[in-house]
Amino acid sequence: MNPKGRYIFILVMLIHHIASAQFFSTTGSWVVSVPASTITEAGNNYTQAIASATDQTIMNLVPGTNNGQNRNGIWDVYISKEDSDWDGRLIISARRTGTGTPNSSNNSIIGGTTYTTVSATPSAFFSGRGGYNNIPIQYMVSGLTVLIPVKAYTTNITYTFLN
Amino acid sequence: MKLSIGMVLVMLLPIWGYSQTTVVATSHAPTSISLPVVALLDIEPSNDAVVLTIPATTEAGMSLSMTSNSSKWINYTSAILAGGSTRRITAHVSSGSVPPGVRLLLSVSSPVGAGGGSRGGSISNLALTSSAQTILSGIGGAFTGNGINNGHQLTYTLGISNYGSLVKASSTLMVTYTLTDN
Repeated sequence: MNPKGRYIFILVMLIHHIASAQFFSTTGSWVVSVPASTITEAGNNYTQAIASATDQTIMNLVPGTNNGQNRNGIWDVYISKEDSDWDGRLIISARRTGTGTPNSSNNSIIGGTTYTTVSATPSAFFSGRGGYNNIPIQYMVSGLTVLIPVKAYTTNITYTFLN
Repeated sequence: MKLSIGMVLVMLLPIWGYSQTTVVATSHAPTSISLPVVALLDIEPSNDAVVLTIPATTEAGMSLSMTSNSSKWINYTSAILAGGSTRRITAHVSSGSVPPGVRLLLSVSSPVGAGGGSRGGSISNLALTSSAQTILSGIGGAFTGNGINNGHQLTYTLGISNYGSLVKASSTLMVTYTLTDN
């Protein structure tokens, strides 16, 4: 290969690498203290779930355009949790409350707008094609009961980006 | 410089590695929920007075009959610390006094209705005094349900303790219930 051909080859490789660059991140944890005033009448138990802000977690993602899987920018987000100290009676759910901002008008995003129960096993959350910024996610905890011992319960919501 | 096969392989390695390592990415969002201590107690259907009257006997030589009222219920909600002690409910006469020769008895039923958790038991014919006495114990994380027919039914009974001390009298008492940590 002559020097010119070699430089073209290297350039193609670099373009390929850049074009394939994948990015995935989330920001925003959820720390909530249930107010004691939630129950106002003696004899009652909790009756309602507790919800976070609608944009408690913000997700940014850019799929690789050619990563060897021939998915052409199509991606899936799975959700699961890894408990640190959790009570099985507490049920945590998540939903996507908006589309975020697409990097291109041809991009699409679908699913995840109704609450998905989060378990230790990854489950399909939402999917799409092309890059998105600022996808808002809301959480909800249900199953609250005074029968659960009083303390702080912690878990780690894990998002898995498949592209 | 010639482009050898080795160089090409080295250049291809990033592609191979990329396709294997960037298919899946993960991100984490820590989540924490703190539950509060809860201790609520009330009397249902209201705090209105219970009126107990010992009727005069109509037959000479007969004893006076006891009189009771079971219209009140006690409801509570309790959430306790993990590893913490259970709670109890005490009752005492906080104002007024029982007329001479009479005693005020309290019975507390076992829990019924819509509640759940570690609720207290029951007690029968406890003579109320100005000193707090435990009427229910072993209350952990629990709720009784709200309103009448939920929780523990209270039965007040006015009985004769000493005929020799009886006088015609009327008295108003206040009974106070307290949900407390052990």
